[in-house]
This record gives sequence, C-alpha cells and structure tokens, in this order.
Amino acid sequence: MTFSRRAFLKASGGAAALPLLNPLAVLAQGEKAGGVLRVSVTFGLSTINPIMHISGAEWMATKWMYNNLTRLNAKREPVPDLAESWTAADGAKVWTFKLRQGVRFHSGRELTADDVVTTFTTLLDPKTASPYRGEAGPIDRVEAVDKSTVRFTMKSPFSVFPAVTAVPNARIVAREGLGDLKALASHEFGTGPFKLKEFVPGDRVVVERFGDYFRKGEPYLDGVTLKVFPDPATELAAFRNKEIDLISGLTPDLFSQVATMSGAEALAVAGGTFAAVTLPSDKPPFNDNRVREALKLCVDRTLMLAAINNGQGELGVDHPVSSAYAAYSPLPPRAADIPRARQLMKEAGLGGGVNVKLFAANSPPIRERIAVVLKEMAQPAGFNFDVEVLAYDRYLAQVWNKGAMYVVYYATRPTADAILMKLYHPKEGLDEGRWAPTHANAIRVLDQAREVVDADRQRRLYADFLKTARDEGPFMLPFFANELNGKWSYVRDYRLSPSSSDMILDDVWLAADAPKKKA
Amino acid sequence: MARYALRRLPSIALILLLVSAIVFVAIHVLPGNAATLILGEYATPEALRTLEREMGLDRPLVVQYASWIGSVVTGDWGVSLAMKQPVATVVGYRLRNSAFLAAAALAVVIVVGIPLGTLAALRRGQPLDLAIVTATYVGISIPEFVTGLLLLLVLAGPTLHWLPTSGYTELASGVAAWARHLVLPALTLTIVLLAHVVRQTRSGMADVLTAPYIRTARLKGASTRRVVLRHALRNGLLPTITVLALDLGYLMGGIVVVEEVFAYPGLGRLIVYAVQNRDVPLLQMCALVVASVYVLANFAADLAYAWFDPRIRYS
Amino acid sequence: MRRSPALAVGGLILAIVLVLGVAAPWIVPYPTTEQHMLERLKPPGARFVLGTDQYGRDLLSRTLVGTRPALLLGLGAVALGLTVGVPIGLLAGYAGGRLDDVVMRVVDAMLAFPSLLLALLIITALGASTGHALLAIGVANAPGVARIVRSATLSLREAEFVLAARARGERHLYVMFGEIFPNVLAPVVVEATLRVGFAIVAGASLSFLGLGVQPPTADWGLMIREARQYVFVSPWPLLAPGTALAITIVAFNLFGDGLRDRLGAA
Repeated sequence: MTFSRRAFLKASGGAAALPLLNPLAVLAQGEKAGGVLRVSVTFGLSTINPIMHISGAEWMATKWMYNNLTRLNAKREPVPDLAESWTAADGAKVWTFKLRQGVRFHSGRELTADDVVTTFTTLLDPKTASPYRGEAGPIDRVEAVDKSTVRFTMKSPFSVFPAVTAVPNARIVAREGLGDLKALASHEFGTGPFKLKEFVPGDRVVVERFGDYFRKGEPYLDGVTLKVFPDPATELAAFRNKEIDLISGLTPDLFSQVATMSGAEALAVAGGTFAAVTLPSDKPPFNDNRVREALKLCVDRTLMLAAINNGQGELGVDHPVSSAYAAYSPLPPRAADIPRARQLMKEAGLGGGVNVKLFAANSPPIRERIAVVLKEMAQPAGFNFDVEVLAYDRYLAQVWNKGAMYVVYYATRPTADAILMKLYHPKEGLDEGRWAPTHANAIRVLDQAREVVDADRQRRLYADFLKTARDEGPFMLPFFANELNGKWSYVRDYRLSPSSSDMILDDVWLAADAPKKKA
Repeated sequence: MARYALRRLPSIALILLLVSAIVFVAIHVLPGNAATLILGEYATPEALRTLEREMGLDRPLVVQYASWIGSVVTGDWGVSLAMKQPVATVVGYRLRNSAFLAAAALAVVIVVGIPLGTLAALRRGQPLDLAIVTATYVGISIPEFVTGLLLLLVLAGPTLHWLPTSGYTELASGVAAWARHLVLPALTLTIVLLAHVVRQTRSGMADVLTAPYIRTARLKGASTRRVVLRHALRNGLLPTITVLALDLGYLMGGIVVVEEVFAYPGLGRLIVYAVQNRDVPLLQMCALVVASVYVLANFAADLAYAWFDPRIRYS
Repeated sequence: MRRSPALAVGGLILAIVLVLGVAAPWIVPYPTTEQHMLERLKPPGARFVLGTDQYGRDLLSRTLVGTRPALLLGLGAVALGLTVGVPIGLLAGYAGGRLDDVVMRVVDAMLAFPSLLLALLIITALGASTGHALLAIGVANAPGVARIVRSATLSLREAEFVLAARARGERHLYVMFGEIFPNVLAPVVVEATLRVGFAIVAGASLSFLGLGVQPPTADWGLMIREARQYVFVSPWPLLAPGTALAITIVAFNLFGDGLRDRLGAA
C-alpha cells in the first residue's frame, strides 16, 4: 500500500496538481497512511443531497464525497479543483472552464463536461426547487464546448463567478445521479476523496477512502466518520476520551476546556458567521434613521462578545463583511454611547421610550442570547423590547421574513457579494430589513460591484456600500463569531477554514500516536 | 378469557385509528409544513410551491389521509419527508434501540423493585423500610436529565471512564460493547422508575397485608413467606401492574431527555424531530408504534389482573 | 393513629417552599433579569449568595422566583388530572360491564396517545408557556389517574362494606363517593402527591427541551437547559435550580407518604 503511494507521489508532478505536500511529509510517507478520522457536530445531517442541502454538517459530508469546479484558499480566493483553469470574456459575461483530464467518479466513469452541464442545469431548474438556485448567479445558459470545456453565459456581467462555483450546492454530480433526485438523498455520485459507506440521517455519515482520487496519493486517511452529538457536554466528554478526534463547531465556552487539555489543540480562525438584529425600516420606529442609530449606539459590543461568545470573535460595525472576506475594508469600531442614543431618541420624538417586540428562534442559541442581552443594553435609551423566543419551526412559519424585528443568523459565504445580496437586495436577496425601497442608490452600488472586473474599483465600490450600511443600514450586527475547532495533536495538516464546514481532508493524516480503534 | 381477548381486538384497532387521525389533524393545525422546514431560510415562494407539489402536500387533507391509510394497509409506510428514507426502516431501527433500553430498565425495575417494595411493606417503620424509602425519595426527586448528566460526568468522565459517553453500538459488534452503551441511559431511567414502582408496591402490599383474609391466613399458621407469595402478592401487585404498563409506554416514547443527554438514537428523539419537521408519514408511524405498545401493555395488564385476582370478574 | 415524622417534615419543607414561592418577588436581592456582565459564572460569594449564571444574573434570585411557576404547574396539572380522572375511574370501576368497557376504551385511547407527542403538539400549536405546559401535562395525567382509580375500585366493588351499603339501599352515587372513594383515597393521595412531583419534573423537562417557558424568564428547567453548556466552567447554574427541584419534590413525596400513613391507619 505505502509503496504504491510513493510511486503515485513521484509520478504526480502533473500540470494542475495541487497537493500541498511538504518535503518533510514525503519523507514520512509511510506513516501517513491509514486510520479513520472521527469528527463531531452538534446538529444536522438530514440529507446528503448536494443540490438541496442547507446546513454545515451536510456541507462537510458532501465536501468529502464530491468536488466543485473551484475551491477557496485561505485568502478566500478561488483556486482549481475540478477545473484546471478558467477565463472570462465579454466583460465577465462569459466564463469558460477547462476541466482536468482523467478525473474519475466513484463508479469508475471519467468526468466530462456533460456532467458539469447537467449538474448546473439541474441546480438552476425551477422544478428542482433548490434553495441555492438564486445564489448561483445570473446564469443564462451552460453548455459543453467539448468533452472537457464548459461555457457559462451570464445574463449580466458577474465578476465573482469563479468563487461562486465553490459553494457547497455547486458540487459536481455524475449525470446518472441527476435523473432521479430522490436517490441523491442517500446515495452519492461524486469524484471526491472519499466514498459513502453508511448514512444514518440525523446521526452519522461514514465515508471510506476512494483509491482513484485525482489528487494522486491522497487521501491518506482510510475513512472519516461524522457523528452528531446533540449535547455539547457529551461531545466534550467523548472528545476527552478520544472517542472523537476533531470537534467541528466547538462552542466558545468549551474552547478553553480544549485549550487546556494536554495533547489537544483549540483552533480559532476569524470567520464571517454572525447573528444580527433586523431593524425594519419600512415602519416606525425604525423608519427613522435616528432611531436605528440610537439602537446601534446602545450596544457595548466588546461586552456582548465577551458575554455571548466568550470573546471569540471580531467586532462588527453593523454590516456583514468581516475580515474573512476578500472584499473586507476596515472601519473604525463603534463604541456604546447611551447619552447620544437618548439624544437621538428625543430628536426623533421618542424621548418617552418605545415598546417593540423582538423575536428570536431558539436555534442556534446565539440568537436568543443576543436578544436577551440587547434587551438589557437598550433599556437605558428608552427601548423596551418584549423578547419572544420561538421554536425554530414556528419562527420559520410565523416570523421569518415577515418584516418584524428578529434575530437573523448567517454562516460565512464564499464572497461578500453573496452575503450582501442576501441581506440587502430586494430581488437577489431577502431585504429582511425592508430597506431597499428607500435606498435605491446603495443597492445600485451592489449591482455595479458584481459586474466590475477591475479589482480595485470593485473594492472601492464595496467600501462605499459598507460605509452606507454602517451609517444607515437596517441591521445591528455586533460581532462575527470565530470558527472554532478542537482536535488532538495526532491529527496532522488540518487547516481550519474561515467557513468551518468547508473542511478539506484530502491531505490530513493521523500520526502514529492516534488511538487504534475501529470507527 | 380468550373470548374477552378477541372482543378487545376491534376496539384496539379503533383506538389506533383514532390516534392516527388525531395526529394527522393536529400536525396540520401547526404552522408550516415539511416543505417550509426543508427549505428553511432559503425558501422562495416558487421553490415552496414546487416542493409541496412534489411531496403531495398540495392535495386536500382528506385525500392525503386516505392515501396514507391506503398504503399502510398494503404494508407501505411511506417515505420520510425530511429524511427521504423509507419510514419503516428508520422507525424500525429506532424502535429496536428503544426496546433494548426499555427492556433493560424494566428488567431491573421488576427484579429489584418488587422485592424491595414488598420488603419495605413487611418491615414497615423499621430501619430497612426507612432506608429503602429514603433511597426512593432521592431517586424520584432528581429529574432524569440532572441524574443523567451527573452520572455521565462521574462514570464516563476522564477520571473513571468505566463506560462510554454516548451513542449506540450494534449487537452484532459484540455483546459487551452493546451492553456498555446501554448502561448509563438505562441506569438513569431505572433510578426514577424503580423509586416509583417500589413505592407503589410498598403502598399496595402494605394495604393488602392488613386485609382480613391475610390475617386469617396468618392465624391459620401460614408462614410469612407463604402469606406473601400465595396471597398478598396477587392483590398487592394490582396497582403495580398498572404502573408498569404505564411505564412501558412512557419508556418507549417519553424518555427523550435521556436520549438527548446520551445521544441515544431512540424513538423519543425521532418523534421530536418528526414534529419539528412536520414529517407526517414519519410521525404517524412513530405515534402508532408508541400507541400500540401502550395498548398492548395495558391489555396484558388487564389479563394479568384477572389471572391474579379471581375476585375480579369481567361480566 | 400513628405519628408520622414524614408528614411533619414534609409539611414543614412544603410550607417553607410555598412561602418562598409566594414571597419571592419581594425578598430577592436582585431583579431576575438584571445582568452583571463582568461577574459571569461566578461561584457563591459575598455579592451573589449562590453565584451567577452566564449573563451575570443572580442565581439565588432566579431560583427563588422560579419556585412559583414550578408549584403552579405541578399543582395545577395534577389538579386538572384528578378532576377529570377520579370520577371517570370511579364510574368505570363501580359500574363494571358495558359502561366500564366503553369508558375504559375511551380512556385507553387517550392513554395510548403518546404523552410526549401530546405535549409537543399542544405546545407547538399554542406556543411555549407555563400555561400550555400545564394543560399538556394535566391532560396527559388524567387517563392514568382514571386507570389507577378504576383498578382500586374494581378490587373493592365486591367488598363486604360495599355490599352492605347496597343492601342498606344506598344510592349508587353515594356508594361511589361515600363508601368506595374514601377507601381508594389512600392510593389516590399517594398517587396524587407523587404526580405533583412528576408534573414538576415533566414541566422542567419540557423547559429543558426548550418547549416550556422561554428566556429570559426564571424557570428551573430552563435554567438547567442554559446551565448545561457551561457546566464545566461553573456547576452552580446547574446545582442551584437542580437542588431546588429536588427539595420541592422530596417535600411533596414526604408529605404524601405522611398523609397516607395518617389516612391508612385511620
């Protein structure tokens, strides 16, 4: 086994090979092979259908079994995955991707442009009802130019497309798997480093090594098990006992527990995940920007971050683009200023206070925490929030996207365009703050930014929008949560991504001191 | 007796039908449906409509219910809306797990609880009785989720690590591992149920032991053991049997907190999942399974009554 | 009549719990929602007698205030269950025959309906609150009470004193409530006090699962739910409400047993 891997490594100096092996690792090649990595999460895993899945644990599982055209590196820039190169034409209206040669699906068949075309056609088909259809970009048509070239024609210029093809719902699925979408819920048709071995919805996914993976020599692991532990305390106990090797989505309060365990490492990376409060700007009291500003000034963000996320995060200034995004532009932090908040309230005619209902779904827990803490912090300025915490299913049916004041929660996206559109754009997104109608100019800036090809110009446009969002926007966004993982030191070459469900395990390996256990 | 049993069968079927109808109506009263839950915060009106049509959720309620009954009668329990897997497979797996847990807990409770309760009744007021009573107080006064967490921290924590923290191993992988995964959740359940059964037995037996026919037996010179086994146990256990039957149903569906704490893949968590995701076919089968267990357990309890106490007549 | 220490001790503790529950809003050192961010998760000390929770709220205040909803829920749910269940059980056990059959089939249907599911449906439909939890637990309790009362009544139906009363020409209603009921009282009382304990635990469990009262209300089950995540940092947010729960339930059980001893020996 190990000898043939060495041979593969030596032969793999091929054109678009990406493996990030360092020379030292090559020397220790023999020790890298084998072992099953056991990963834990605290919720999810209802389906493994890559066209339809919407949660972190599921994105992780399909990341291991499938590939995309591109993937994102640590700087969140697109790099080759199944596509070895790509070019834009006609002012970013036409994108042409050249596929790698010799990539095989788990079934043995070779990847062709047809599979890519069928995947995207299915993703975009309204009959599929994919939740991510809108986020794939303004694609007009997809066609196979030849066996290994795919051309995307956009309806309007879309300069960020190569980063968008890295999203979890754009995994490339073999043609055969796309005929009857029901099969995709429990079977996989991918090219990824691991094949599906077992899937128990809501409980676990077990994958095993695919010997014919196009990144020759990888993966090193024999397999991976992803298990759901609904209780973080149980999860931590299992980790302590080395029944889990890697905790994904480690809670901030348990982070210090892992950090102090000898032999374990607690990893933290700035992310883009956040919870924010909508300030519905189409009706009183938040239609007056003075009131919005007043609320934003009530919040002591450092204290909120400390209390809610144990300090694990980056302060926000009421817009959703953190340092984890390529389009990030730093702005001065916002401190609490209760006297000024009161002043603004008086100017807006609300000197006597105002009562507002604030909703929060009970999952994830950060939502209700933000609501509870905000209620206390905003009291001195005259805001009387009636907090109502709802079960998630009721929240979806009765509160979400209905123009009330509630707590939103979003995970890190591949591009700033994606999250900004989602939050603010009335057509491409939800405009949960009901703000777009009165701020058409700002929305136009967003539209322009995604069309512009010149990187500098794009950065300036985004910087412009972010300032507007901070000063007038319909969201109070106090901080971004760090991505937190806990792992044992024997798990090597693991890099925590700013979007932790973007878990690349191609080149991860277990050192010799890993416990020898069955999955 | 056999005739009585046969007469009960149609009413059992009726009960189950009623349960399924109530569940069906109730879940449609709840806001949202399976489609809204699947799409979550990524839903668009068109996507919702499409998904609803695909899942048959746009048909009139009566049609949906009739269609479900129709397929169940032919043995087809349908496909879970949220999990996209055959309902029968999913429920079967969870049912088996819950059954193991229930059996383990009940076995301990019966084998330990009834003798303990009888002993306490016989030694009323004496130190042994007081000790037993105190222990049962402790057992029932701490909620299962607290007991579970405490047990977890003590027995499965890094210091002792006698037992695994959670989950479930297949019997096929080895009896020892399977048993070890059952211990903590079963132990947590047992503590509460044991207390309840011991107290009920003690109360029932204490009552019976003062009854005239017992005194007669004693006066006739029967030994205590004979008195207990031959005469008292039969009647004293009647309330206990009722309680045990109720407990069985509770165990099958109600132990969701213990399942949550130990990540045990049982029916309780599945029911919560089904309601939260408005997964009608899944919920229906779960509800019927738990209801059947209740009904059959009670039925068995009724038969046991008649057997234990000849004074009870079923006219 | 035997003196019962259980009755005295249980009664005393219960009285204390009741008084604390009623007086809580006036005697607590801090408002229950007041947060002291810099003093999060502190152990018991001079400022905060039982320590603080994850938002820096005083645990003593929150635990005391949580007494009232717990008591209301426990007593209310059992009262509801008894009010509905006892008459049904007496009727079925006494009448026997077809009436018994019919009534018990209905009770069986209610009993067969999984109580967890019942609670879930009620709470999902109506919203999570103490009142709805009380309704759910009460409704779930009633059939069980009916069954137990029926089984006790069945054993007594042919007893001498009952036959004697009938021979005397007493009306059925009197025989049921006047003769049989006092004799099934013992198991019913034991059952009722145990059920208060169970109802309080059930309510706490529902809150623990996120189906009962919602934040930022002070409620023992909810406090334990929130405490779970921080249990390695500080066990006090778990211990304070957990101990309060345990004490309250022990008190109810002691009292119930003591009452039973009194009644039984009478």
